[in-house]
Amino acid sequence: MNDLKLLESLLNCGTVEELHVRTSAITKQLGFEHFLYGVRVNVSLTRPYHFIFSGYPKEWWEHYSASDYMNVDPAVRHCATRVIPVVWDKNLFSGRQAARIRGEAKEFGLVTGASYPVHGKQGEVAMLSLTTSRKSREADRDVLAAMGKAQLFCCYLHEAVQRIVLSAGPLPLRKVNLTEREKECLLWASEGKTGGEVADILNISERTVIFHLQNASRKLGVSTRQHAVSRALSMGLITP
Amino acid sequence: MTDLALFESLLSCKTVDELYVKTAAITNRLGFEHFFYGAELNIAHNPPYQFMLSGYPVDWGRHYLESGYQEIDPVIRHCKQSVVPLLWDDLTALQPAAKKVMNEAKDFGLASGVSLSSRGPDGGIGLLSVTVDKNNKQTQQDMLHALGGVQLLANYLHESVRMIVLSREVQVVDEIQQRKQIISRIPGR
Repeated sequence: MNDLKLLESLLNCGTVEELHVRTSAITKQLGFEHFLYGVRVNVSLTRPYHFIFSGYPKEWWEHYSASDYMNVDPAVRHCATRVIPVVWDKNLFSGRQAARIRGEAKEFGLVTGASYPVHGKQGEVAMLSLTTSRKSREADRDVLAAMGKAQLFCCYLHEAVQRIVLSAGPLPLRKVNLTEREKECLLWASEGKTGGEVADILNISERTVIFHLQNASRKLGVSTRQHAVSRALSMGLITP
Repeated sequence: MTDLALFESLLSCKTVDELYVKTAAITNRLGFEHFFYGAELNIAHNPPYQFMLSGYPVDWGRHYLESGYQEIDPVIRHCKQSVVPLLWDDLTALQPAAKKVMNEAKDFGLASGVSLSSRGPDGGIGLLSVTVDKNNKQTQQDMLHALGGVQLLANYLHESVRMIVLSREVQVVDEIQQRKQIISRIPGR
């Protein structure tokens, strides 16, 4: 009960610093020591936007980033492709490279842990990892027992980040309002239809199709039709 | 309570009926009477695949759909906007139409409840509501206590439905193309 008040307090944070303090406190309350939250927003497929919020030991986080472990960390891959949380065990960290990351993490005090995914409405993917230096059967049991609360924690944290970070600046989740017609034109363009073909399908003139596509491009901040299609798709503005 | 094996058992369901039975059991185990789960999954460039698993009283489900309440249901609105749960009792300052939906739900035995969504990597969304027959201080406390489990139920259900649907993706796409209609399923009770 108090747990929910605690989680809801995340939504009242006005700054990233405040959010960090509360996140650390809740992490401890749930029986963990360290946390890492990260979100990837596909504003561009080749250069996605990342926001990372680290409560990991400084040396480990520096080593982890410098070694580009994020690209090979199986917990990151799990959260990007699945909807359910995952416990850090041998099955997850199978393979030589993954096992090495796991071994090194342990040396820095990240002995037992789990990761929780959240996918947002604009196609952004976020994950929270919570860890402890405890190594025992009891520690494993505690992680399992806290699974539901920790997954909720991740949801609230993401909602808070969405409000004070992602929706705040010019990027990345600035609200782009496409009209229905603009979306229809983009959708058919994504199917490889030419302007003339889209015009036939929607029963409007080709000039009107071009007009809608140009307006959509302007709103999305891009200059070509292909770029508009890929950005609209990656931001979840048009869906199949 | 939040025994993970309970939720993981959803992942091994091969059929929708099996999923229904397990979901109903977990709902009860978490202290709730009724549940409703709806999902919209994206499959290639086809209309979204809609999926429903209703453990609501049949009369309410029928009345709800016939009245087109999905268009004005404040619970659905919340779940499309937010990744955090909604406690029905926190719904205040509702428009008259939305208020009507929630009041009628009470008449059909859904005294209170909690709803939450989960989204998937392919842009799909799942919505879970679980409800109680009685509403008092104790049930509100129990619901809060069970919230983590409800969140896990939503996530595991979403993952299971994805697995079931994706495994028969080709077939589903064929059906959609042949019949040009959305497939849904509401097992009756």
